[in-house]
Amino acid sequence: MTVHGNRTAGVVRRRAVINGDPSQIAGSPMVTLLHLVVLTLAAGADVVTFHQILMDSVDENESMLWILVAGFTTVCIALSHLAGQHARQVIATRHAPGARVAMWTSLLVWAALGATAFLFRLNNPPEGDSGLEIVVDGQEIVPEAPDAVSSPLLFLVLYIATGAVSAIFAFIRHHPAARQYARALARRTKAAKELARIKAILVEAQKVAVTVAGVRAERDEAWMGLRARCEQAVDRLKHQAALDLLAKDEENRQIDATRNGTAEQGGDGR
Amino acid sequence: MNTFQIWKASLALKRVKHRLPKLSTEAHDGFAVATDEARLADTLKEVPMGALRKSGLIMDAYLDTFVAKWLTDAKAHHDSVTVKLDLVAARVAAVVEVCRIRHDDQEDVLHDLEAAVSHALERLADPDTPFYEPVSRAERRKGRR
Repeated sequence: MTVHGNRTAGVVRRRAVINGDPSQIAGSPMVTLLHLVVLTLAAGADVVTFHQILMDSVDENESMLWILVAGFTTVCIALSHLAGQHARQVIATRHAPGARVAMWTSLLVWAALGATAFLFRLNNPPEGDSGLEIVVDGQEIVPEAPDAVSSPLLFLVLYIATGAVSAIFAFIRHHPAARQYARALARRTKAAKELARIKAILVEAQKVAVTVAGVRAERDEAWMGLRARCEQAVDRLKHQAALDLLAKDEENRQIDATRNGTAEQGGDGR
Repeated sequence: MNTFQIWKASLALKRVKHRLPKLSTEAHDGFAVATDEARLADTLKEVPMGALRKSGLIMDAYLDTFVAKWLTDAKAHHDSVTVKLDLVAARVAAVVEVCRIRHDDQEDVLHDLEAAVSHALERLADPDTPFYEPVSRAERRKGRR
């Protein structure tokens, strides 16, 4: 990051311009995957604890209870995540308007949710009587009830820890400008691919159109040729017939001439 | 919807390409000028010359009729093939138009996204870059699709 300070005397100081981190445009590092795994495990821990609390407080069947637990966990994680994101925007030089209000609202609601769950757990400890009877030397020993404070406290610590993890990850990984650039670039790449695909189909269609026109022209030419061939064939046949007729006439004439000559010679001799 | 149109156009084009070779080489079954001419010549040879002389006009009319039948058959076949080709040409023209419209549309989308990428890069490099209210595509194109 580069910092350009404006420190001219007599001029109202403006906040230093901190340019964004262009290296972020290279994409998310591999550690993001680790963040996601940690967040998922934290959410899993929240699910278990919320299930224990809601099981005592809500009189619903198991499926409804799980839906409630999932919603509760999602809201908690989302609130802590939003708090972290907006905290980043608050401390950024060009912070977004309303980021401070959004951060505090998210944080307070998240804290209120956790406090409510903690208090409920504190006031309604899980029943210790499990129906188990231990008899030693003929004397019945009643097992001690679990500590009424330690369990809710453990829950509270876990809740805060998961919230902190979520908020810190959001704080570290919030780079809206880089993400906006990456998103725009990805969409641009997708649009360019789509354009190339459409262009390929268009060029292919234009080629096929030219081919179809060529085939059509060839067909027309073939038809003209066929008609000419038919007409020539019939003329040929007519001429051939006429020639045959002439040849036959000529042959007949010669036969007649020969026959006449023979007859005259016979008359003279007589 | 747009993707579906392009998919449909591509499919139509494939069908046309598959059908075109058949149409271009389609011949009239049972029609061959040379064979028919030889057959006709044989028929004429069998006619006695006396009869041929007497019926010269009739023979001409016979040949004309024979060739007219030829030409009618050939013309009917030619017309059926050309109608098929015209149909294919119309289909291809429709595909070309659809692709051209989609191409122009996608070019606009790409230009918009290039502007978005450029602006996002500016915002990344300089957070003081102002935002501009973009003109909507519908407004820019004045309602034209």
